[in-house]
Amino acid sequence: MVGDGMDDLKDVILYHMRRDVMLSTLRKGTRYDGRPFDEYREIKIEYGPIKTAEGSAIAHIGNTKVLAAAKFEVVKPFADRPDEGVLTVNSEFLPTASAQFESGPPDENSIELARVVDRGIRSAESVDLKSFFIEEEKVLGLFLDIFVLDHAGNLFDAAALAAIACLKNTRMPKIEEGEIVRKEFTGPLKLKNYPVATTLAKIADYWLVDPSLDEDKVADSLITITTVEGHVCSMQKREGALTKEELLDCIDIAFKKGNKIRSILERD
Amino acid sequence: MKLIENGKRLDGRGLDELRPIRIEVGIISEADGSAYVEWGGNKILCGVYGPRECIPRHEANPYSAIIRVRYMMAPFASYEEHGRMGPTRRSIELSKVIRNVFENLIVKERFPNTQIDIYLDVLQAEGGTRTASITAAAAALINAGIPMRDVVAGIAVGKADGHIIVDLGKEEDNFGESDMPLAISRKDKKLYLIQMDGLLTKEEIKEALEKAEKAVESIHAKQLEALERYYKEEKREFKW
Amino acid sequence: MRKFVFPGDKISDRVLKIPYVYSDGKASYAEAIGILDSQGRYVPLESPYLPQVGDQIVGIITGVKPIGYKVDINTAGAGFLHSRETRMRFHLGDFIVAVVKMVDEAGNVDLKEARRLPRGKVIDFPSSKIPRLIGRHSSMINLIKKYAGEDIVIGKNGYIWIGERANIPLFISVAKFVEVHAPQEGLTDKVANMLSKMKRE
Repeated sequence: MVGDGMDDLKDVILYHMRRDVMLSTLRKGTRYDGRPFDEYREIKIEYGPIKTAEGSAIAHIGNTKVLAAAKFEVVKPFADRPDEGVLTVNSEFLPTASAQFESGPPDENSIELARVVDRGIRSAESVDLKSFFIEEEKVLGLFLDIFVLDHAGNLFDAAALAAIACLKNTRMPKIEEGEIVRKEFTGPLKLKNYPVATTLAKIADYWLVDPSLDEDKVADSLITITTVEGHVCSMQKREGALTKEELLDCIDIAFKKGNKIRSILERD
Repeated sequence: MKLIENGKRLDGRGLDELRPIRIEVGIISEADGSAYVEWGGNKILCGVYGPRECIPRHEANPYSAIIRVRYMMAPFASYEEHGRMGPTRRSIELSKVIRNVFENLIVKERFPNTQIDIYLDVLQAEGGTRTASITAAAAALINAGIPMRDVVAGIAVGKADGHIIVDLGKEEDNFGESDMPLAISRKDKKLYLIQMDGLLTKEEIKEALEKAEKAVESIHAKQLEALERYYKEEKREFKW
Repeated sequence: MRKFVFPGDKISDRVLKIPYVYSDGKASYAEAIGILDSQGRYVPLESPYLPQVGDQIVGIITGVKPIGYKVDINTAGAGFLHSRETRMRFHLGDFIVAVVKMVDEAGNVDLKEARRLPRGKVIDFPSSKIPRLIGRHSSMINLIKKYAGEDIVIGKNGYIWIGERANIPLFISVAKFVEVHAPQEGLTDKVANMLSKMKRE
């Protein structure tokens, strides 16, 4: 593949030159892949690729590909919320997907990713966790696993999109005598809204939507803003610093892009 | 549980019939080579990296590349409960036997002091994940340009309800009398993986091997088709 | 007639000593997917870079030591440029163009005739398809340079340096086109079409 194909050491050594050369391209008004600054790569969603899971989806943003899959289990509720089910989001940076990823326990990046996705869904109250109640001391636990299948930049937006699309695809399991009856369902999981994450990267004075891998690596600032219709439901600054005005501009863009992506989710 | 009735299996297949197999190569943009295999209800993703610098250094072999295989089952890959991430006793053993298939096929001496990593992710499992994984890995290695002496593919044969059957499904694997996963090469027809459990007579093994040898030809053909398709680029549309 | 060959396929009834081919003492067999062209020559389509003496390569300085420089040349081990091979002083992160001086059994590669390349971007292109990007008598690369600019250096190792003054996005899209269409015939015409169409748009 034509790519950047560089590892960590070179990332460090080449940082300044990479950034400078990218800047001279940005000054000409374009990006290495020819996109305008405020444009996403092509977005596609595949629903239900994993039949063994109760719900699943793959989100494509350009070459970046993230799979989310949902499994239910009967679990004990948290003591402070005895009438609510439990949502657990995990993410795996498969070494299959990039030379940068290694096998082993999740590193801080994959934990951050899972938590940002989790917060978006939780803050938006997209899922009614009270509907997961079975009986005293027994509730449904929803395990949402996020697998990065191909890392070509901007994992956060792809992961959040895969997660919400997965929930849209999820079916509620049939419960009998306090246990899950596998492969039998009572209907779709009800979703209140669609939180969508939009990541913006700043390189010198340029704000870029949906950073590619090249851009991710040299970004001065990075922020992921998750929106639902009319509300921001989570923000995570991941690199650099922003002024108030910049943040407000970013939020405007996040709403604009978020609404566009929501229309894809609503359409399918 | 009745697995075979009137010469038909639970999913309607004949005794020698394979499940549908679909192979795509070059699907991971950042990998040196990759493949995706759908084999019945199995879905397997394979990424190959290397030859790259061997880490840690003291494990490097000055005469040849070392091969590493990491086979892993996703926690959502079965209809049953949510599994656990990370290596299990089963996945460690499977990683080892799969590695051994490729250690004997790759021309390792071309790349001294290096390592070649083969990552296999089972995203959905329905019996026969190791043979489907070997099939995927062989295609991904060719896609990566790793030199090999032959093309290999996996196929399981076994016995259910007294009949020798080809390409065992999940129920046949669980409730059948015997299961024999194999990996067979295309040019030399050598067996690079041989495992077996359950009971089989020598005659039955002979019959099973003959059936496997016949069935594997169509799997090799699928691998080559997928590679040709990729390199001919009939399907890949170039985008501006 | 051109046809695909796969690992293990016989490509000659003689013993050949060429890259990505093995023999059993009588005949020769392919080790990689490739094409057997109309003259019966085997051309691998995919192959990690195997350094050969005399290759021009593009590299990146990844280590500076008193006796010389470690150079990333797209092989698993680093290349080495001995101080006595050059009067220039290099720094970490410098892009260079150099020539392979020697390759030993353990895969170590010594370099010579190194020269610094100015600021630019290095992309990683499949080394097996580099000949297609250069074209017969450099026809392809000369064509691309007409549109993308002169500041392009192609290494046989698959690294390509594109100077800051060249049109980097245009070069990348043409390189991707060549990568995807490498096995096809009449590639130069197709690229010419693409470039003139891009210019019109």
